[in-house]
Amino acid sequence: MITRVSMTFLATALLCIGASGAVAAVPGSGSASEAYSAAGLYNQANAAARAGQLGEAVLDYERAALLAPRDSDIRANLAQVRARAGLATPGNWLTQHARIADPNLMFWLASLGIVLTGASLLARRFGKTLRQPLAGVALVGLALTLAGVTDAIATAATLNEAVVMQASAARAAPIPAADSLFVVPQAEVVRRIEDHGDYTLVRDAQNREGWLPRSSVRSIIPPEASR
Amino acid sequence: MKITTLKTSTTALLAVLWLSIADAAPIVSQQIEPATIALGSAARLTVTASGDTAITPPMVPGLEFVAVGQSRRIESVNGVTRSTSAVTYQVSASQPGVYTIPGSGSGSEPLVLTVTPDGSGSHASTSPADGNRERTDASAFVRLRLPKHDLYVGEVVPVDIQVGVREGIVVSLNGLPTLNGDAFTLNKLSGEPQRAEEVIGGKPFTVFTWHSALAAVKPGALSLTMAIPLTERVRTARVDSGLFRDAGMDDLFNDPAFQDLFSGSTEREVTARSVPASFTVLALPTEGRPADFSGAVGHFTVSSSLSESSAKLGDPLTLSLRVSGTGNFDRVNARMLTDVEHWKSYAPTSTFKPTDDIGLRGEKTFEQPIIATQTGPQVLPAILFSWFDPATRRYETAHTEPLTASIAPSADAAPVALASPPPANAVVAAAPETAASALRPDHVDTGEGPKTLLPDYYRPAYMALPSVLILAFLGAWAWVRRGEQAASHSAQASAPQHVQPYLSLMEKAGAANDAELFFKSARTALQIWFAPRWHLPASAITEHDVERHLGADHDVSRLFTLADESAYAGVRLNRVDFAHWKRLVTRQIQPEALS
Repeated sequence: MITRVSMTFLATALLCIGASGAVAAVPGSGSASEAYSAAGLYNQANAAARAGQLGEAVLDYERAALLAPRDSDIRANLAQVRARAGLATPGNWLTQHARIADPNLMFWLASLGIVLTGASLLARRFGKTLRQPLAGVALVGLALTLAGVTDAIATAATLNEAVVMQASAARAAPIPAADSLFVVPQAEVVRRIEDHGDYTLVRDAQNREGWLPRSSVRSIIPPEASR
Repeated sequence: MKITTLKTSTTALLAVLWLSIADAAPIVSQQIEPATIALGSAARLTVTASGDTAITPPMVPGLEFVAVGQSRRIESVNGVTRSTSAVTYQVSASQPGVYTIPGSGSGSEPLVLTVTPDGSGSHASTSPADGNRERTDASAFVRLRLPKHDLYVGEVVPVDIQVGVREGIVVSLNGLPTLNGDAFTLNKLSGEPQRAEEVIGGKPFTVFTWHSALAAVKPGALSLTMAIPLTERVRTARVDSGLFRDAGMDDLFNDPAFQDLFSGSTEREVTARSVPASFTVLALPTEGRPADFSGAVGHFTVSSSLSESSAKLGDPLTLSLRVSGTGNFDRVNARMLTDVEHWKSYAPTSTFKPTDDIGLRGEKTFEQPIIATQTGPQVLPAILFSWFDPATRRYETAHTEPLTASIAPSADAAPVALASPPPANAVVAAAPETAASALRPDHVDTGEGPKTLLPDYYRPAYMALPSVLILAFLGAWAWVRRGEQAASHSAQASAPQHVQPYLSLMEKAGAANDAELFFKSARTALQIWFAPRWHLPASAITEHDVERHLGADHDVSRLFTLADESAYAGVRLNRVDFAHWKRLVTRQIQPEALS
């Protein structure tokens, strides 16, 4: 009976994963008609860097790094462009080291990990001979799940990050006449906190906050509707 | 004598004067002008009373009376003196309607004031045709000057917005003219307005003119108005001009500027509006619409150029497309080049440089980074651009000339790689970089990837999946546990029934002095008893399991050992031993279960 339950759980879980994958494939479930590829974004960033468009370059490198976090070329060119813009390489250890693959791949691996852990723990209750291999499978599943969770936590910071496309004065209030607090350089990665009218409240690497014109920053993860 | 005569004469004269004044009956009359006003404007009510009759303002719900002037006249005709008082009120209404102002006394007829809902009021032009005429009795006006009133959707036409104000009456303009009408868009107004003096209806106006461009966003019979907030000075008391009326100087002394010099005034904020300007807006024809039409309406010319005519393989080049002319540049879009053989193209960027101050004329430049993927002379095809021309009433398409670039081999590229054509969507080699910008080379792009950069675990459609899986796992686990517990309880409940025959067999084996059968039956009874409690099959319970659950020194462990020994080596027991082991087994199995 226990084997039957394990197989039922496994089949149900795989059906869930398959259904979710099918949702992704349904036309209209994703608003974009054009795919993002790490290589395409990287090449686009290289072209922008060669043309001296440092803000565009950093934006596309950051987007490429989101999809291919272990790509050394992306990291090297991003560091070089940031250096050219007079910026230090950001020191988010979690983002730089905890991420190992495309976040979507990590999501599906984590889901598979949950399935493996669940099915093997259920199956482990059956028979003595398979207990140790099943425990191994459960551990592998648990590791996959933890890797996915870590990736999700590391990526969370990117959700609200944006790149400053041209150097802009951060103001004390979201109006043109407000006092200028500090200048955010081009290609700086800032954290978007709040939008108000034509302005967005940002926090820079030095934890300073100010209002920048929305037109001067672009989110690393673009809103789906905007594509 | 003379003094006495003078006193007598003076007394008589005063008596006659007193009698003549006292004899005059009070007469009250009133008149209103004009009898019909638009909402937001005011009429003038004059109440005249003879003698010392007090004049009080009428009380009419919905109407406001503000005293703006007072006068008193004393006339002496043939020795009869008559005094007349007059008060002038400014009458305004809070809403349209027909109001009756009651008479103020004997001989005074009620008056009727009609207030129309026309929003133009006293500060607007009155011509319903095109909004370019104005009233001369207003302190300010707004008028529009348009070259045409028949438009296509998206067609941009220049418009002059003129605001005329009376110096001395209009204190300030409190903003820029604004558009009222959601079917139109107005370009940025020109910077400082042009200023001119103009005499309208014999009165001087200062006219400010802004230039802009107007476009309709939907078809139909549409209208729009322009408005501007301003502050004007209003008189609170009025200098009587009756003495000058006969001299033909009434206009001069009724002029607000003159009145302001000699009377009190207050300021109020009003909005001056133009009369509605009507348009007939046509939809763009669907017939003959080019596939690449993006909504540009106007008249344009196009040209293109390449940043370098020769480059090395992998060098980025910039393809520029310039669209210049007159029209709605916000809808001027070009797809530039996509999927051109031997070229890798990227998304273009655009900049617009207006050549006038209203954004109607100018040049929009599209710049597209491109990289050649093969050596030799490479041709970039012509770029098409389509628009709708309102002058010809049809769609027009222009194209650029094809461009050629000479691509030399890259210094780092392998000759074999350059000799063979690169795969589709592949960039063969990186541009040779200077030491300052030695970027790592481009990657081969297969074009595959997600349709959004938002990771799946932050997309609502997917966020539920891990939770569903974990809940499914926990549910299955709980179900299995429940099934096991139910099976265990069932086995425990049925254990006494299954144990009883083996206890009887032990009894018989003891009586027959058969140790082997005795221990075998005792072991089986204990296995049946412990099986549901230890979640093991009865036949699978061994001495090892007993030691694990009860300990190696337990009597049950010894019984299992003796059972094995009796089976293979034979064991001899006396009656006392049989009784001991029987007590052990029955003590182990719960007595209440046995009962």
